Amino acid sequence: MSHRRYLELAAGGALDDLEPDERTLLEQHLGECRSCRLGARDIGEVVTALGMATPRRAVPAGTWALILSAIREAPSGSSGSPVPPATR
Amino acid sequence: MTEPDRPGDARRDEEARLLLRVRGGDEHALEELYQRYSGALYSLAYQVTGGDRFAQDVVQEVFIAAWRDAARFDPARGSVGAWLFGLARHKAIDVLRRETTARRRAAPEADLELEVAPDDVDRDAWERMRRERVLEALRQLPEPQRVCVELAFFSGLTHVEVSEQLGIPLGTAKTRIRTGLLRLRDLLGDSLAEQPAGGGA
Repeated sequence: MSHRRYLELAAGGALDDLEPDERTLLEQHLGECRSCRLGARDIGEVVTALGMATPRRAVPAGTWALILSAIREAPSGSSGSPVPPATR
Repeated sequence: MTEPDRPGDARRDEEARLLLRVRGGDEHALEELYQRYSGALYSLAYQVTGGDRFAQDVVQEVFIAAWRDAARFDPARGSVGAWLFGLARHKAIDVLRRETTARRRAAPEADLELEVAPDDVDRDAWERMRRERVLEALRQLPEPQRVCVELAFFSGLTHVEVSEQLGIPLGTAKTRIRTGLLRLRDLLGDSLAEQPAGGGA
């Protein structure tokens, strides 16, 4: 498969649109190809640039306070830690 | 061999460090990211969901998820910004799933007001310039690609929904979206990594 094809997969991945086998292919290739890794990173920046280009509206006052009270009830890292504790 | 340094790397590294502090339970680090991104995330969520109430929910969910799941962020895979926008798009689509959206989806292009920002609370000229550059790149895309990218990103349609909305095969919709994003990368080039003088702090 060409590098171009992998970059197309990376673009699909950036909008969360990959079949599981496509994701596996992409991950494997990114692990060994620096230029595609940089390309994939740039595609992530395209997504960021699109997001930053959205016409701006003011965030309602009090939003941060709501977030703050929610996180104070939930410790950081309370779910989804990829590293299981090494206890036995 | 190390990855080459580029203009945006300092910002990227700094934000990755912020997220590492979030992971360690530092509220101030989360607030710093909130200050940088909440405006854009809220605006995107508003664009996708078409309502301020929903958009506020999305912003809350994004930052609560960033707090809880900071460990899932992999700096080798992309920037914190890209991760947050990915979360926002995901959550906005979830919100839509929970609500009836027939009205919003009736006119795919009518609610995309990318060139006029009636309620624009833009802060600085640099950001306006950067936005203009992105919109200009969008305008340079071949029409079918532009429409597909806008529906997928700013309207938050899934790829299946894009194909249904436009009456084109799913494979065609996917190809247009993917090719459109790649073309945007080529059009935007080095400006992707730029940041305002003096950094974001």
